[in-house]
Amino acid sequence: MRYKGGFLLVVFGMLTAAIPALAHHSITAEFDPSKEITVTGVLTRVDWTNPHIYWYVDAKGDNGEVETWSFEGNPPSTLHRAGVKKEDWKIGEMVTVTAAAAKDGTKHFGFGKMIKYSDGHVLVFRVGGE
Amino acid sequence: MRCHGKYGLAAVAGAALVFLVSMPAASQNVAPAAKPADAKGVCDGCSVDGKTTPRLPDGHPDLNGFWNGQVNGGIHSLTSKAPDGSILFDFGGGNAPADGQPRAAAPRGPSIADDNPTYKPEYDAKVKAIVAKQYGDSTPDDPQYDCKPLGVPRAMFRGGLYGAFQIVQTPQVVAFLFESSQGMNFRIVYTDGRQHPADLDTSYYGDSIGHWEGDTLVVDVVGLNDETWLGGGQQAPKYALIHSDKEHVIERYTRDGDVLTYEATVDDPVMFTKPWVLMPRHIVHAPASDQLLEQFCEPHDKSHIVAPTAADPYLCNYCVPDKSKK
Repeated sequence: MRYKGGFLLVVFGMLTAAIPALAHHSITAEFDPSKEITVTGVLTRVDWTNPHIYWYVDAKGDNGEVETWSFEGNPPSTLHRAGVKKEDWKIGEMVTVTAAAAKDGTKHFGFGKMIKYSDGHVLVFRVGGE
Repeated sequence: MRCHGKYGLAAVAGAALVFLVSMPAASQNVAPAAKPADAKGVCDGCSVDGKTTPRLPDGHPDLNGFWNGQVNGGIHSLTSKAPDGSILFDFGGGNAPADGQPRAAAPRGPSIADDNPTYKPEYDAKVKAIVAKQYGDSTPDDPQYDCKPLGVPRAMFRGGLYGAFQIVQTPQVVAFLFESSQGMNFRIVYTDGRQHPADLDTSYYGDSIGHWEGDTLVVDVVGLNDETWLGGGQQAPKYALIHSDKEHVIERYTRDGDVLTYEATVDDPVMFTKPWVLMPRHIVHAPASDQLLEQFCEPHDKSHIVAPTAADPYLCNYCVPDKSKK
């Protein structure tokens, strides 16, 4: 099991039926799921835009300079109907984001798979069902 | 090389079984039954019993309300939450088989990948050249990645099996307000007896005039620009792409209970050898607990979608290549 941090899997469960907003492109058309990146920094913003949400993390690079990373997520309507809300992104918090790297070589960009907050709670995003 | 579920599939599948047993009744939206009211009030346009087609005072079927469901299958996502605020969201995880084996295609009703128009040879070659550059179903050439309106008929089913739109109907107009990744947009069908304007400029949704044939709303659409695609993208007719500004669409909307059937015949005398008769789509009325969500489109994807290569061929939508098999 890859996810740590005391994540209690089955406490409240919900199966959302027939989610209207589809993934409109293949995830692997942009991202390499086998190439994982991990970034720790301050969560500065989440954009609740279509077709994807994006969130941003300011992290210190190797040279000490602050670099801004962006991470793509699912469509906001899909997340909303599944009970995942914009307020679940706690702006200003220190986080560690795990993501699939962009295939086109864009630096500081990936498909977000997990956000871990400093208090240990996590937001996990998977793509399955295909 | 094969695809497999890398991300703790068994745990999710097991959780899915638990969820299925404990699933709240309100989330069971596949087959709407009687729902005159729920936590958010009276359902706008719902059938009283899920079977009887509601009607307006003028006797025509009432098409009002938010339409966003799919009759057969669909993508079922799983969400679980823990007291500490932790969330597990699995897009499509509800479709995963419980045995942890590679996932079959999600049940999504009839296959439409082969439901394509017949292009004249020169345009057929263009379409095939576009498809050859697609990574799976995706290419930055697709106008959806410019956040352009999807046009007709693509907007009505968002390329795939079903759309999501609010219908506002009066005796004079039927307005479609789309919940679309392309942002907030709409189209209006005039049902007041007018004809198409003589001085029509082309546009994304063209000009639509409708009339009733029995209980079916029949809509004639002309004046469409050539900046949209007919299909493309995931869950869509794969070779239904470009069209000219001579595109002409005849649509038929028929409501039966809480299911709206969409039929369309698309002709393009410039590019097609014959009219394209689409496979019908069936869209389910949403309950009052669901409503149209605001949409704003940012064209982020266009610059990041890659083309397939020999080293990186398209395998499947979400799977991770099993490198141990190399």
